[in-house]
Amino acid sequence: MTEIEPENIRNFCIIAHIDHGKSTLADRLLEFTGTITKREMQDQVLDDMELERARGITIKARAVCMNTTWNGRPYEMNLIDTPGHVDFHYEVSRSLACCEGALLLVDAFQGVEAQTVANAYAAIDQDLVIIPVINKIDLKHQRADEVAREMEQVLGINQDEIVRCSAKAGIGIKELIDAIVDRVPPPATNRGGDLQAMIFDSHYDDYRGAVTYIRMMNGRIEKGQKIQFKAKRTIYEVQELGHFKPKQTPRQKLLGGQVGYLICNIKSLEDVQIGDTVVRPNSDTPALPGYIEPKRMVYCGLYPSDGQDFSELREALTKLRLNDPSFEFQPESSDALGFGFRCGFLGLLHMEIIQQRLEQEADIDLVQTAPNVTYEIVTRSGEVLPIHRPQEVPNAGDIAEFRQPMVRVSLIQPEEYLGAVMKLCQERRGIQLNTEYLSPTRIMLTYRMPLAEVIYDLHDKLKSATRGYGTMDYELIGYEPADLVRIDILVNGNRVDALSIICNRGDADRRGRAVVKKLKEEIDRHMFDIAVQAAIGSRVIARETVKAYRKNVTAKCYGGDISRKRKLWQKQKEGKKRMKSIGSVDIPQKAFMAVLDRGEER
Amino acid sequence: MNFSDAKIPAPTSVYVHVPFCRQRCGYCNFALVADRDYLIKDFLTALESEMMQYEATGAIDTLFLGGGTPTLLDGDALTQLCESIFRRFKLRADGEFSIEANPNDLDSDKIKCLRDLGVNRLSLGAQSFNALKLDFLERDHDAAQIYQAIDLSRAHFESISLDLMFGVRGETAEVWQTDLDTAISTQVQHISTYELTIEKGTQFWNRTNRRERLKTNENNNAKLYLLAQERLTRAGFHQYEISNFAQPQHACRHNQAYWNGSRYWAFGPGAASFVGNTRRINHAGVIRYIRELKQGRLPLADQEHLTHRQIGIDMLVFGLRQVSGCNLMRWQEFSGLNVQDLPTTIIDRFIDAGWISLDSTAIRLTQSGLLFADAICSELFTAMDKIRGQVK
Repeated sequence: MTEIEPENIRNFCIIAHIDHGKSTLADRLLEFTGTITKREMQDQVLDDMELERARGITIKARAVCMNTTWNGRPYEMNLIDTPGHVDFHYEVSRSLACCEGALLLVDAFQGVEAQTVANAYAAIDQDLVIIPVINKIDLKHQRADEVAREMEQVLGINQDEIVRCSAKAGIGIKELIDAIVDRVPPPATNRGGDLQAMIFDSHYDDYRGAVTYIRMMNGRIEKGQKIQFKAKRTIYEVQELGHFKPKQTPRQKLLGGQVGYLICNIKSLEDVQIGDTVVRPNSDTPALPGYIEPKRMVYCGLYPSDGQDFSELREALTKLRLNDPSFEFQPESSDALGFGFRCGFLGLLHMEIIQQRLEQEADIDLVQTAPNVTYEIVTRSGEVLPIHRPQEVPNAGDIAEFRQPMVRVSLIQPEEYLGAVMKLCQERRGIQLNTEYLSPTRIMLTYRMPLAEVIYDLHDKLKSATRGYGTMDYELIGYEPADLVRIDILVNGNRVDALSIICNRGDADRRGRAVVKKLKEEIDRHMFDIAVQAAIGSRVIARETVKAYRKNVTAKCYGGDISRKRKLWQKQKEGKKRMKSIGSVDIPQKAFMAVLDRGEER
Repeated sequence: MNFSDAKIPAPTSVYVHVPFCRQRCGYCNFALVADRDYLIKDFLTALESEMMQYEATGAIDTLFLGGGTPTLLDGDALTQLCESIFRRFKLRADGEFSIEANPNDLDSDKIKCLRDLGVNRLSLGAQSFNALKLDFLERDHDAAQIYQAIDLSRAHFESISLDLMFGVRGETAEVWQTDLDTAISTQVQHISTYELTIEKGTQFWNRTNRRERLKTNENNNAKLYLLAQERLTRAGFHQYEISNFAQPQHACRHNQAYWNGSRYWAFGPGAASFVGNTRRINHAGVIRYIRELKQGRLPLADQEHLTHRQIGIDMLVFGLRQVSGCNLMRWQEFSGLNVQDLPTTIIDRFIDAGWISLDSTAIRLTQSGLLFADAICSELFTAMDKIRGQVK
């Protein structure tokens, strides 16, 4: 096979909001370039993880190589898929660094969404050529002209450059491929130079270990040669390399400008850091810019529920981490919950995914504590302590400064919901930074807000405040001092460390009341009264009582009743699986989430 | 102990469910059809064929015709029903033969018919003597009909039992005490007291879901329950189960079989049997029941084969409903488990709370434990089920 020249390579990605048709467009491109036939086409080829399907979100980036002849010339087009969700912000930035162009895909009915804006700016920042695309122009309710004006307004896009298509109906795909060929610049590369490649993704193969996704910046790699991961300083021999078409297709070599994969007998994905640079062993080729260690923003405790095995949980977590090194865990112990693990995640979605996978793949009943963000405390002695869980907050007297992570949130919604959204943000201690009309009826609000106020349920609340029309995105802007306190929860006088929360002093009373009220609902009645209290230090700020049974006899129990009762108890037993006994009080899993209750429900 | 040592007793009881009523009361979720007596003929045929399919046969100690309202059947139908039962089963000479009856179904002819068929225990669905309460419960009889039914029956049956219900909306201790004292004054041998329970699939359930309040509160119910214990005990009744009181020698042996882990056959819609190691329950729908049998199939809604351990758990938790508790000798003999298999932590907790007492012969609920029977049994059930190391 002849070597493909850099000027015939096009590396690009698709930036889109969920549901705007990215996967369908990807399928169509594969089909039009002849990479796969219609018959081979499995719907939505790129999203192949089961969970992704269930959620309709591309969680992990993938890459596919399309070789085609276009207008009489051979081309190699590499589509690098990017995750859309903000939790995977860093992965997105690394994927973008591997492209020269980006398709900015916007739904002809939905218009520009917050996520699109955030990712589009990221692409513009990295000097990518943007090809604006309006999809779903065949929809009955399409408003492509209006959407085109929105794109011009928000993103500074020239309306003439917009390609209009329908991925589903196959309209405008040829024009789009023309645009990719004509407008996306070929990669600038020095193939004769020293090897330099960017790791932008990886996945784990049970039989072959880590599969590393790379974009060749300079030089070449051949099968059997030795390579080094710059940041990790590890050296491997390349056992196999090639392209995804979209199946793994082995090649003899990869050249500057190309995108492909490496298999080097790497046992764990932990050893493959996204953003790391692949070089010749011990060469002085510089690392590519932009590499950072993945940063976990959300932490929660995971504990085996009563009767479940701690070591089984550790095994399951270890196995999961082979697949997803961006999540981390370390053993911790809680007075209330016993031995478990403190786990760090990129964000709340990431946390939910891990949790689901644990339950689905490992069949373990978990008790999970409420998620919290990482705070920082400056002690009197000037030390800066990261706080991954509320229990770690030192005594008030030792705290010089209590800091929390802040974010800039962008929210886009139809004008009529402006009031509701502003109220929502103000309640969450948001400070308005900007208001921008995207079109006469759509507004983008920008707020500065504590991350803690954003991650738990702002997205859900926004959706319900805007009847589903609002979208949001956020980016971290650093830590700021705030007037924070730790609220402890006492159950029958015993502090349950796993139920502690950190919140703003001004909200403490309301939060405290809401939490104990919710706990009262979640904790079943026992043989005795159970006092549930919220306290700051030794000061109790709220109290509720779970009353003991007065009587609990079901009157009759004969033949048929026995069968019914057994069934009922067996069902209850299932429910009790995710339960922790603290002292002599049984606390169900749901109670640990009760601390997220903000007391807003009327 | 080796599990193969566990004994499986032969069934010694038969229950037959007669699913016909004149009307359905608001609290009732039993398998029955109201006002569709034309199905009786098909039902009797189906019942016969159900007994045939199991090749069920043998000598039995107790027979119970429940419902529904078995006494809604006329003399011929009742005779046909009993004949088909007795073709398969032989009631021992000292056997107990109970039938459930509505007070307003009983005239001297019906009573004579029942007696001729061998019925020796009559269970009257009285529910209350209070007109407002009867009305609230949607019963179609009045207090006078209860007295009359008792007077007519007294000479013909060894035992008469009354069902009484408590805890209906607005019911005070005075109202309930009057019901209890009236029942005592009729000199029946057996009284069952049931708290009104709101079951799924009833009118009361729907009304409760519409936020209508139909029961008195938990506090009041506890008070009424204790009042029943007090009044009935004082009148010479012996409480032998959570909701059952009897004069000496008049406990219902059929129901005791359910709580002791004995085996029993059960036929008819919604009927639940326990034979060998298998618990079965029939479809509750009368039409479905008839149709399945017509097509030569068993009308099973569910069946479960129990391990010895599960049998032991059942014996324990249902045995605890009896005031005499669960006899440990018998329990070991029939489940193959032994005392070490009991969930000690939980039992100790209940003993400390004064709810359970345990000695070398039996484990039983204390007087205060009786009030929390459901919570205790459900916890024991869950805890026993959890213990690992079970022999396969």
